[in-house]
Amino acid sequence: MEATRIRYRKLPGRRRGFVVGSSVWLAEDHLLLVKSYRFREEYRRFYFADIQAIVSAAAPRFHISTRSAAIGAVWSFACLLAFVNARFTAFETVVSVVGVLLVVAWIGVSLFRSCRCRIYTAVSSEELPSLYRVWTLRKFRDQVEPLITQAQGALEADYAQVLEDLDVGPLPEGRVGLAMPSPLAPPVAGPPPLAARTPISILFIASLLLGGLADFAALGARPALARWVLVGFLVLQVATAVAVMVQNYTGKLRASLRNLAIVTAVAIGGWYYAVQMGAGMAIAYRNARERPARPQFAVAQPMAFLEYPMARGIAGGIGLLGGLAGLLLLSRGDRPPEEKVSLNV
Amino acid sequence: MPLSKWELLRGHDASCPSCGAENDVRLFPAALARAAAPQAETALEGEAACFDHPAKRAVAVCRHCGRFVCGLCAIELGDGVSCPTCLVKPRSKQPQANSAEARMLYDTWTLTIPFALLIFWPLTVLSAPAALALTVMKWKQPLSLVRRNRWRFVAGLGLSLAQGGLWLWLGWYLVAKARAGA
Repeated sequence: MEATRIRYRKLPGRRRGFVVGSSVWLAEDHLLLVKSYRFREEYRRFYFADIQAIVSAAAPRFHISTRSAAIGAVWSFACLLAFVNARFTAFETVVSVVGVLLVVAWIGVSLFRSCRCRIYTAVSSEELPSLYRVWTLRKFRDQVEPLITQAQGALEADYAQVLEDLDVGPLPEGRVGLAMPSPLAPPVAGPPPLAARTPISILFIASLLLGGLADFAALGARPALARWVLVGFLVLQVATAVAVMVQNYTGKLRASLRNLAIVTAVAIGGWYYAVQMGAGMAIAYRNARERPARPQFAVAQPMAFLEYPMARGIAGGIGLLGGLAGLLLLSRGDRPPEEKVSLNV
Repeated sequence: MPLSKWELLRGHDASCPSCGAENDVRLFPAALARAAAPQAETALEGEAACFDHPAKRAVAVCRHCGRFVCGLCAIELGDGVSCPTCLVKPRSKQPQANSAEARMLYDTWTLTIPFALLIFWPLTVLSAPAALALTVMKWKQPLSLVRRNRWRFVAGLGLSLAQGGLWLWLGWYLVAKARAGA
């Protein structure tokens, strides 16, 4: 039996990933950071008396939580219903508009209302992954700051003078007790800034934008032409998304563009899956209703989904939204690579 | 990495002078406390000395092994003083309630195995007994530090029992049918 088990209370914020999750819990005298890897949990404790600082910075966070994935699944199911019975045009329109609005809201929140948060003690600086939205961070600080202040007392008014010859947080490379380099020493040249505009990233954004526009433009065109426009741009988008991920892995490209590539690839994959399912169900429904002499088989129609303008429209919407987000990221310019370890995002 | 001066000296809203990024810094008095290096005083003749540093004066006793420790070796934990040796060496096989750094979530395993394998349902003939055995073997293992009940164990147990029961029924049915045919 476990002796004297500590009772924890959950603090605001929870990162619910498909594999990795995170949350912060409150005990009497410390915070417990729980990193969950589905079948395993790792814990870090931060005692109130040891916490030196809580630092946060605005940063884009394109996190797809299991909750938002569930909303996406419900939306996809509604789309399937719309496919199966094309008579419900009003329902179809509402579903499409709601879906687009949700995606726009998610991109807006991810870009403009998201943050990173890091907690500092004398020997560690740990990111709190569960705090990635601004409003959650605010609630978290409202609950935690009074407890830390209660344990440590209030900060002195003239703390700036004390800080002149003091370092906060762990020393470089975790070596406790080593002297920091003198502030008068020449600054060490940092690594070169990570690029946002590489030929691959520009091609990726261009393929999203042009693909989105071409899909919309081809809505009224002949199915044969629209099919090749859609498939051609899809192949280009997926290929350049993979290239963007590779460039980020090799340290040549910023993480935000990699995140956009991941989101786009997942969105295209989800769209393809949902539309294939919808097309299959529509064919089965048509066969059942019309009872033709030679029924169609969904498996024999791998490109059947391209017959549906709504499918092509959603693909165009994904491309356009991703392209616009990419333009925003490109306009932010190059950033130093220290964004991975610091909060200067 | 330590916090940079520009973050520390400008109050809550600190703008990076090089990239212009806005950071919100909440500083606490612990940041101002100088890291006091642990002191170990030299032991005088006749005074108790540290087990690992015979020349240093003992200031505490390790609660686990009872050895004397100096100021350098005394490590204060929530439940008393430990020496460095006892800190890294597990004292017993009994899991420590409050110092775990990681835990395997066996209750999640026992729920996920029978549930996930429903997709490839023929495999449940193997997964059901496996999940049952895991539940029985790991029932007493500590759960997550922040979970308080064993509903996953119970749900996994129920699901595996149901799957096992269905397989038994299927086996019995097939045998009975074969006998009837013969």
